[in-house]
Amino acid sequence: MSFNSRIKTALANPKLALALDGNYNRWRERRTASFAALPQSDDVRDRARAIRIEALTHLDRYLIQFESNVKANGGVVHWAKDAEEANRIVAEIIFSKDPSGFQNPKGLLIAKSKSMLSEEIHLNRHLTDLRVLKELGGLSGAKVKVVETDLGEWIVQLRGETPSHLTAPAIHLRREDVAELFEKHLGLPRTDDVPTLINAARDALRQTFVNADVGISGVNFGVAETGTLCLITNEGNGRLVTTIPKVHIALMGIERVVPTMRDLEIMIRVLARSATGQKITTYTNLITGARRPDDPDGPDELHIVLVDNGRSRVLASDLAESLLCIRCGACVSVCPVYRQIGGHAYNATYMGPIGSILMPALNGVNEFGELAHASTLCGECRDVCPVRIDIPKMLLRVRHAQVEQTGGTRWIAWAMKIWSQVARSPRLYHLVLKISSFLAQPLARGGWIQKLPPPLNGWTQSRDFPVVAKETFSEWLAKRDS
Amino acid sequence: MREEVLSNIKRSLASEQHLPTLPRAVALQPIEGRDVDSLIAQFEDEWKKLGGVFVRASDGVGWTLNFLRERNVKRVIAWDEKVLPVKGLHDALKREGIEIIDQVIATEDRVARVKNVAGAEVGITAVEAASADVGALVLKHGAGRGRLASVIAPIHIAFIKRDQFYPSLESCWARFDPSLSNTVVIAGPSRTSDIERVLVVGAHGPKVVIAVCLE
Repeated sequence: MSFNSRIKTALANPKLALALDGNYNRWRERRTASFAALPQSDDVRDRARAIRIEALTHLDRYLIQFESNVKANGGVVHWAKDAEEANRIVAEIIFSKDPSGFQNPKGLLIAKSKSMLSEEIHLNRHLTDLRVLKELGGLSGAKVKVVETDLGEWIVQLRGETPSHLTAPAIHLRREDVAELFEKHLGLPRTDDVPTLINAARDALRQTFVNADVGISGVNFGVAETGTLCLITNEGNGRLVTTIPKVHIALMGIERVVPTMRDLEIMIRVLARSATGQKITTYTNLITGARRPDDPDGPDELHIVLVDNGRSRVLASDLAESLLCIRCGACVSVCPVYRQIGGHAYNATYMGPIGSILMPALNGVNEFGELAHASTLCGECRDVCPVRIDIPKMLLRVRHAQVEQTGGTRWIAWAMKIWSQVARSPRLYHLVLKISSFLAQPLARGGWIQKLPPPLNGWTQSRDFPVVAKETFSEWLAKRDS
Repeated sequence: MREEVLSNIKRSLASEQHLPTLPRAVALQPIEGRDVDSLIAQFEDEWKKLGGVFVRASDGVGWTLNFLRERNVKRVIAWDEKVLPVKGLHDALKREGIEIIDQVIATEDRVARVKNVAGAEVGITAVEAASADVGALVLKHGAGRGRLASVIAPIHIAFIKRDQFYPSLESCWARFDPSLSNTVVIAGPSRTSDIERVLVVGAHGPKVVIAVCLE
């Protein structure tokens, strides 16, 4: 399905706009209040931006420092140049182990805390692919179950969908949809009481936490100075996944490093405020290496997989600024286009304004460049970005690159060529205006054209076109002065 | 592969730079420390806004026993006696007939132990620091101080001493120790707003977190 048809499908769903409006209104109010309560909030955002720029400017150095500190604290660091390598590394860590060491040797259970990077590399699909198991030979005949434990992620996983928002994965759904889903999967009688739904999910996922053999998580930030991972969650699933199973595997994009713990504290000030409008997220989990010998709990093994997957290439491109992104999802929540079409219309891991840059930046403009056209360039995304990424500028660059590479739509290129000739000659310009006015009059109703003929009909699908006036401005001026 | 990723990064950094220039640097004023009583009052205010419960107790053991009796609690998970600021709690609990579940799960029979721990009705811990500006507790984990006590049970009781209140998270940060495997900042009970952004308190972690200020 093309991007245009996906947009049409989304617009035809009245429940979607309702869900997204509700999301926007509640988020907006909380975000505004939480930033108002932050002293020097503009300066803090400048500092956050400076920290991200500094980290990227010396990315190699900070990653090496990070690696050596993780190692010094008993963690293992793996490097993956692309999705394939990252998936293979994770599968090898898990499946190369002696299965008898696991609680569920015949049905390996993996509990996951939210990770957009794992969505980017399609990790779940890879880990549950029986061919992968066979190839690695570790757990012959075993089945693998990967369970998302973030509530929103779990809901979309049960529905066989992908997240429709960076930080609120199930935001496209209304409570009725969740009630229907839980009736089917948990046998929960239909209810529109949200706490009842949450309780049912809590009980179901408890079993996953308790029985999990391996925990997989994302990483919000990695601190170079100490080798500390920062994982931020509200639900507590991030803590359970990184505490109960024997093995913890953390997926981290190479750009997510910050130099010092002090820097991390600044990032924490802006992240939750931007994502959910909280002053601070309920749990800020700081993990430095694997369990120490006298720790009562925590994983015996900590593996950190540093994933490049195109990021080092983006660093040299004119979209490098997009690597400052901390995945708060503020630009997504605020975007007037996203608020109409939702996340799934983008058909991309990263959606909304930042997604329309990251997707083409990481995967090429040929496949994803068209996403950048779904923007009004209103600039709200830039205004709410905690690290002040100039998103509209990046979107224009993507559009430019896409037209350069694909040649753009041919008739538009022709039309532009003709237009540039017409606009350069006053006589031609007036002639064309006269003709347009003449042709447009029969189509007009009350000064507006509601339906243009092809190929211009796209314009009038969702808005009216103003009719060309009978009299041009020059004519009017000449008449007035005479 | 490590070398490949690193050399790609180096090559990109050596090429024409597209990273933005640094924004103007403005000094951030640290939040000034005030007297303990106003810090505690501010913490209480912020903590309650997050849905947390705040109590003051001169007798930590007595308060806890009372609380557990009222709710007929039979099983708790608690940090070791020597790392709690209330002395004699473990003995008092035992005398009351309340089981203190062993918080150690890092053993051969890990899952059995986890299942046991998951039956805890209340978790009891100390804190390292409390941040007044955001209403958050900092917990350092290590020997005798397990991570699960503050996340596995539906109720979490955290004891705070008067000298552990700090004006801001930034000022608590000095208490961070990278030689420990885990530190957590806890701001109220666990929550989710994943369904229609409706805030619901009590997700995978505790529904109730009680900050007990020891006077």
